[in-house]
Amino acid sequence: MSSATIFGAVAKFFNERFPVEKLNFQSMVQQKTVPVHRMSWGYYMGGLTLFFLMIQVGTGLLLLFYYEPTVNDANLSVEYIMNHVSVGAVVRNMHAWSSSFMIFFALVHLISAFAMKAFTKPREITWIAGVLLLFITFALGFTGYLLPWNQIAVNATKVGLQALDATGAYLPGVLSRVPHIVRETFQGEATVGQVTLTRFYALHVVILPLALAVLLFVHLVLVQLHGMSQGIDREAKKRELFFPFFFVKDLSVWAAVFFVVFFLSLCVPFDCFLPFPLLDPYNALGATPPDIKPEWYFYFLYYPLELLPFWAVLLGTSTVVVVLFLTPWLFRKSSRRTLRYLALAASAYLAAMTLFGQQIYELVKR
Amino acid sequence: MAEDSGDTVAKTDLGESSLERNAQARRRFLRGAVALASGAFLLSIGIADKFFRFFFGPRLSQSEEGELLETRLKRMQETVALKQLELERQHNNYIFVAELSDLQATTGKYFIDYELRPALAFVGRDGVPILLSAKCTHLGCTVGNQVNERNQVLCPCHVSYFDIETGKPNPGAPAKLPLEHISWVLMNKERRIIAGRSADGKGTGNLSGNYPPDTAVYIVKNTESVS
Repeated sequence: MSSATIFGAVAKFFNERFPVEKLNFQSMVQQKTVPVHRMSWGYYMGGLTLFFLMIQVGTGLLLLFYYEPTVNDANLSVEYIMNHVSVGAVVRNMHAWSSSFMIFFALVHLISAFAMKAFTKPREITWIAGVLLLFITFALGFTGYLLPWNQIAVNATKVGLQALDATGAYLPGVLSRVPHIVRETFQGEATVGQVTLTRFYALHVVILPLALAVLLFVHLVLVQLHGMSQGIDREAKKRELFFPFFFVKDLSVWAAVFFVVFFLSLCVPFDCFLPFPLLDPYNALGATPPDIKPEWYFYFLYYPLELLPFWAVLLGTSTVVVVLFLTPWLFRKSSRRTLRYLALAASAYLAAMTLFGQQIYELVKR
Repeated sequence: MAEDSGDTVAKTDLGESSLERNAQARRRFLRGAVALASGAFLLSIGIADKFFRFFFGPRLSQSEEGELLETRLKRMQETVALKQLELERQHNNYIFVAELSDLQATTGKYFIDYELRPALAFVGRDGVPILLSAKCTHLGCTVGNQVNERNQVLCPCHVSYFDIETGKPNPGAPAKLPLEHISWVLMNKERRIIAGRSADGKGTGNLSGNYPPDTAVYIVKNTESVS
């Protein structure tokens, strides 16, 4: 194959994925339509995730005014925000609640897009950008968890980093050193301490949000260029204009969920959601608190780690990651019915581990 | 003609009542809009007030300020103490852990080892100290310091029980490797080494378990120092 042919094939691939001729007001706004069918609810999920991201950015910026990323003051500054700063508790609660909602809706968005086969040509790059966005969202959750610098947070971070390190034992040759080097890079010193906190802070407030912004831009531009996917096997009988009709509906849903998050933040502190309130600051000479668990959105990984050998969880997780990236090609010919069953199975697994993980653990271990 | 005229009257009546209804609807809409706008205005004043205060910052009472400063200083002292431990581990060949008489068989004493990891010190049934790393060999949590009836401590993260004599995890535990033993020496009040045990279990000196009252436990930088 000549270089001209290869270049031509690459150019064709990108021309189809980035139809720049549609970069105009008419295509992206005036003519954009949304199919109306029984899976239409799926079209709201991406917007909702974006809305929670906006809340995260807004409340995160507000928290920056008072949060101090030092092992000495981090916990105290969060306490100060909660107890003394005007609307500080609401802002922090909204940040915490909204992070959970954001991860929840990002997952629902991914699963519903999968079930609706929204990843097929020419939307492969949109899908991959979406998968990367989901991983960044999880990374934001992981890095943000350490910032209050309490006993649970520091120990959970140690576990997370150590789990990363442990994957090295299953890699061949020189690759086996890579996870250890990555852990040491993130940790920055002998044990989780000030250097780790500074690095996690930089990741949480600058590096990951920047990466997220770039990928989100690509994701959203591609969604606008390609329009909404068909979603069901047959062409929908009815379509509605995105602007203004669907957009107004989108805004109404945003308003409703904002009310829910605001109400929860005002009346139910996030600490009540998990049995770990803003705990005492980290004490290097203290034990790990009993019944330590990660945030609920890591249960799907945490309980298998409790129940199965590490290699099995690692193999399963790596397979899922590879499958997620190759979805546009692996499931190119699958029917939407098959995809719906797979999506249902994935949802059932996530729901079972998240809601009943502890009971399953006790049942198996008994 | 008369019929036409009647129709016109009826239509005019209809038109007037429709106009009246429209006017009423308009008035209701305007009243609603004004009420909503007033509500939104008041709400925005309330929110603006809150956010102005957010940026303006809290004005604490003298006692609150004092309390806050006290907590901050206490945390600073803890941070300084940790940094001192770090420095001490760089410079000293022996680090004090505890007086032997302060060690217990059922509750471990936490300390920081030479690698700045948490560790535990107990006194065994034979009266000889047991020093173990408290970093779980599974995923690195700090294990608990309470010894159960089987002479084990628990890592609460993923439920591994470790025997404090051997360091070994219970069968079926997520942790597969034993907790590392830490080299230690006992010094009398003249700071002379009277006994010791290296991490690999080799003992030296008096390991009878009978020691003078002022005996102290130290960890050792170089294992050779034990012998």
